[in-house]
Amino acid sequence: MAIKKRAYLLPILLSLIFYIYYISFVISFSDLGSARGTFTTGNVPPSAFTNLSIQDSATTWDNTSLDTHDISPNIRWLNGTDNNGDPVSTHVCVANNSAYIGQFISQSNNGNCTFTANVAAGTYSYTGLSGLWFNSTNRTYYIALIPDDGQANGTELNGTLYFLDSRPYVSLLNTTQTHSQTPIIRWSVQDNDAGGINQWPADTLYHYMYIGNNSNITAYYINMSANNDSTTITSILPWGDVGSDWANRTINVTIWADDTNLTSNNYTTSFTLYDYLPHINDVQMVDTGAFGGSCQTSGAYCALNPVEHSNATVAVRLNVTDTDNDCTATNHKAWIMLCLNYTGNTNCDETGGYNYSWQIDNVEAGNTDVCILTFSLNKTAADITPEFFRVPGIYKLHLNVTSQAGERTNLSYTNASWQFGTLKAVNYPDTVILGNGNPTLGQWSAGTNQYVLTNWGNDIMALQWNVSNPTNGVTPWTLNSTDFAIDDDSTQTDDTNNLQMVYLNATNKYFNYSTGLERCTAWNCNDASRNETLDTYYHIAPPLGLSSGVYNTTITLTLSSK
Amino acid sequence: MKKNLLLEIIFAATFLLFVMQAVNAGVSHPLPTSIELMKGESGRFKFQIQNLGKPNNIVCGASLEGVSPLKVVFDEEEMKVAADSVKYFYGTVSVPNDYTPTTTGFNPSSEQYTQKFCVECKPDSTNPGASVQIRSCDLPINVNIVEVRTTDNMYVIPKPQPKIPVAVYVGVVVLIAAITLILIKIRKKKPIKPTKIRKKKK
Repeated sequence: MAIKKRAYLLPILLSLIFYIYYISFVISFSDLGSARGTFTTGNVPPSAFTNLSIQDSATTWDNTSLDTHDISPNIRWLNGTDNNGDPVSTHVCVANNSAYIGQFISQSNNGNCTFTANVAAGTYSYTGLSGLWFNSTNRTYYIALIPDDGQANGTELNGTLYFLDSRPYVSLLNTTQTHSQTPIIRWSVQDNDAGGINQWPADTLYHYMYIGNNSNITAYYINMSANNDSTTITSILPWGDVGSDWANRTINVTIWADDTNLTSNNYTTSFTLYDYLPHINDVQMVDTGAFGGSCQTSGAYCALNPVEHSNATVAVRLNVTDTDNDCTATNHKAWIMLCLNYTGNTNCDETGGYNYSWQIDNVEAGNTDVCILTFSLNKTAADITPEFFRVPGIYKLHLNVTSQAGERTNLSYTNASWQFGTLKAVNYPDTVILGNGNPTLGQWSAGTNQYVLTNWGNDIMALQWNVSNPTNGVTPWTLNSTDFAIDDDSTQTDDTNNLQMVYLNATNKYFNYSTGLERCTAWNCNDASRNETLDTYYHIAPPLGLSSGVYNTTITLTLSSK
Repeated sequence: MKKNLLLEIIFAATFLLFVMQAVNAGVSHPLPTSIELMKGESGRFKFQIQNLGKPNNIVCGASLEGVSPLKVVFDEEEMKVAADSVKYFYGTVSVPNDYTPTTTGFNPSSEQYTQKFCVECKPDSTNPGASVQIRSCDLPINVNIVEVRTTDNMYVIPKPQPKIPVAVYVGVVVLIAAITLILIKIRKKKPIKPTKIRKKKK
């Protein structure tokens, strides 16, 4: 029975203790106005974070001086402690004014933060702070990391972030002179933000350029943008003005670089666009065959022969030095002008005075400093070459040789001379009939057929005639100086024209004008005022006793200079 | 008698037809127009014969006119020009070694001479009838004989050297081979050295 009494005692005692505790708790929350005293909720705010670090290169972090070139840096920190064991998240605030430091506990999400982020509990880093920017070489931001255990914020961890940026520096254009109108130019640029510690990540640079002449810097090339330190100038730079030896143009250049934050100072320099102008070493000219020598030494070395009733053939070999080593038919243009220096026609160049002009269109040698220029096809009548009736003599010639920029102003090498030779040539019908074609023995048979002798060369000629005794192989006709005559009239008794009839035999006899057979003044040889042509008729008086048959004879016309 | 004469006249008149064939080759004056030579020197010249627009080939020859102290030789005696073509011909003019200036000591310093020549052409085939031949004369070779050369003459291709016939080359090779063989045979037939003979005698 005694054990039963003790068994009731323990539950009663525990119920009593619970009752007393319950009554005291209810009284304290339901009647504060009347209750007095303090109590503890049981939560302690988390302690401050420590060891804030910032990434300052691809592989390193810095927790001593929070400096970096990365404007979107990664940060990390060490968790503090929370006495209550609560999970601790992080409020991140980055501001550009230190005055805001210390206010973040209550203003963690207000507008004073340039950047805010809430980092979930268990994560103690943040990748890529954003919204920050440089405004000079260096920029300072202030950061606060506020621990939050869900019930209360802990002490914030403050830090100063230093954002470092180096200004790019442009220098050293590698081009001082160029022969290209669209040159590739390179320059040097230095930017310390190349990827090292506090220089990471490396900057991407944008380059800008003005190219122009002295008076207008933007004349040729404007606002080039590129992300490397070279460019091909696609705008064609104009050649300079020609001088005695070359054509130079100073091209002014201004280059600067931009790393998207800082712009370099302008780098202003210049380079020269040059063109060495071709220098004529030698010119030779011939009609056919081997060249005879330099036309600059003597016109006699450069002789063309007239071609009977046609035009001379012309071949030219021009030797030119171009220090630019770029001989091509595209780069080089050459012209030769031949002059016939008649009275009052003393000048001989591209401005006038020339009678014949052809482009020397073929470059035989290229990419050396010596260009050999010739005609791709030698010039002939179709190209209007010197005509057969031109007066023989030595005349001037002029050369015009240009490279890209033009011709030298020193023209002493452009003048030379040439010679037009002398040709004895006549035109006479292939066949002629003596007499009237139906002669009667013992009677004059007047040469009713007219045969015109025409000067087809350029020599003034005296004409001597002789004739061998005709024969048919059986009976010779021995000419007696009275039975075979040449005349410029159609009958032997007529003498209306200029010349008197001349009896012919084996001895040379002159039958020509006192002026000789003059050279023509035009292609048609129809100048009535000149003796360019000679009418001929053959009168014969075959003697009795000749046997029938075809008689052979040779008439020889000797041309000599008048 | 009168009847016979009348018949003869009528007969002849029926068949007497004279036809001339012309050869109108043009000939250029020689180039260079002046050649500077010293005593004993030679110079080259060239000239063209033009046979343009003609259906026949022609054959021409050159002949010297007059007398001068100069010696002139043409590369070709028979100058053939094809129908409707132009061809250069060449020659050499020389001042003899024994040339004596007419003025003592070349005073003035040069003496000028002209040797003229003619070129006459005819068709390379003879046709019946009467032919006309054009003879171009007064073609001058002007030579300035100087004591000291003052300038180069215009370049004219040199006279081509006559080609040595292949037979000559073959002959030379055969000759060399024969001589070589003979020498080899002689060496093989060489008598025994006298020293050895002497030893045998001993």
